[in-house]
Amino acid sequence: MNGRTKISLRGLHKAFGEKVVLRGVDLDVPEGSSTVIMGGSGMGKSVLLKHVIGLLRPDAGEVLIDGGDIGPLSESGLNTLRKQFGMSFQEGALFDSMTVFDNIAFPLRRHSGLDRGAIADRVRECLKIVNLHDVEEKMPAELSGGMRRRVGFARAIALKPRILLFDEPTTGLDPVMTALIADTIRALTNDETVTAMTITHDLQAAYAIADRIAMIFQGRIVFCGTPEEFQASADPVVAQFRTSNPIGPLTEAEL
Amino acid sequence: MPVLKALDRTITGTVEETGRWVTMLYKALFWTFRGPWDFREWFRQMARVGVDSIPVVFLAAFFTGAVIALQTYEGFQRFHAEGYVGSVVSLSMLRELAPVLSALMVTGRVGSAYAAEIGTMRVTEQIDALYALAANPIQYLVVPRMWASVIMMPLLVIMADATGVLGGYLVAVGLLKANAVIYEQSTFQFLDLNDFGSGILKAAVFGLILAVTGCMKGFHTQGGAEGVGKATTQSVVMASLIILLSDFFLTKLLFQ
Repeated sequence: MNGRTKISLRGLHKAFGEKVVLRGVDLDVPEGSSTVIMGGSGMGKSVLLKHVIGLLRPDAGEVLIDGGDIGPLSESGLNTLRKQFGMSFQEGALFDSMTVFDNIAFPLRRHSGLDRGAIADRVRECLKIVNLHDVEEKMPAELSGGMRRRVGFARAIALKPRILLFDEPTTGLDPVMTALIADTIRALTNDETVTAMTITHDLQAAYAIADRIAMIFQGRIVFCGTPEEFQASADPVVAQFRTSNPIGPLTEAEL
Repeated sequence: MPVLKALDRTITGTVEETGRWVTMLYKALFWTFRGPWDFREWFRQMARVGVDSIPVVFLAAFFTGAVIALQTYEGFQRFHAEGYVGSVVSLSMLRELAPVLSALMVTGRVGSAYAAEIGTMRVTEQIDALYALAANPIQYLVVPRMWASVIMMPLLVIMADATGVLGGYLVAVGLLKANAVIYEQSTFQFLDLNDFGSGILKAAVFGLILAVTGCMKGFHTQGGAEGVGKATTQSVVMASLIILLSDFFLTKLLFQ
């Protein structure tokens, strides 16, 4: 971390019809940090992440990348901005008309300017990082859910982007694979210029991945601090989440 | 008042759909002029709209030409005008039936497929993934599909013109024993280039309509597999209606 703020969310509000999801999210993500977003299901974690890359536009508030508001950007402006992003989605979101190889090569072919051989090398390298072998020519439909998620992860990191967004990269993976993905995210953010935001429910993974943990509850960030602070926090939401207690504010809110 | 509420819903729904439709067309035109252009994808889509639609369009046009000949021959005989059957077949095929019927067939075959595949991509977050990978989905998915349809529809209609006229000829001359020379003459007797050209122009417009409608419906799909089914059905109904309505106004405009 070098003290500069890479991503800044200011008073983010978002509603879908009657359903209010975000009610004023404020969050600063320092450059080179690895931030984990935690929170109950349906609390708007994915919605939050989609705002960062401009897939959703806030009803009120702003998203700043390197200090610049992305709100006024046109679609082609956003398109340019997104070249420094890599994002993986909950179910992988692989292009089902393409092989695994083509999926990972897709961003490389469009944006990297690398030649055929270099692209193939990079694709194999990415597959190796997520510990997948002999799947290059397979179609996404032939893979298991966990494998699809790892291919999605590989596709997100292929271009070596400066900002990484991972939406539940470890959900549904076995403990060994979870540790592998967590280590990978850690290793990627060891580079001072790479900033990551990861959504996960898995406490172990969160401790392994995070410099900072942010807790979202009822559309706001109720806690943001280091993993140590998270473990010591007396905040009732954090405490309930941490101890997997079925009784507390998290469960009351769902009623 | 439930009646007013229903009316309100219908009106806002229509306005919303119109807005989405126009926006989709505008965005597709905008992204047409921005690189990178994936021409391999353009050709793939052109093959899909054009080459793969040949059998259905061929059959539809052939039997339409044939049935017009059958119907009019029988009718025109009553006042000894069977010499004009060829004109009726060629004029109605070129000006009206070849473009409209081909467009409806292609809507069912291709427009629905656009809605289904883009809709599936929407509900499985593949559209979001395209955005995230800095590949604008309008540019990547809609532009090649739209232009493939605009380019290939006229070619399909040229074929439909020919097969329709052939169908009429075979029925009149082969089945009903009309005089081949007279029939041939009457086929081209009253035909001018405008009849042909207007049909081709209609075909291109219909190609645009069916592609934009299919892509728009797919793009705004919500709610999983059921939503994809709904979007697909709606895209066919909506595109067919727009095609039939615009056909009237185009005809009025072109032959004024």
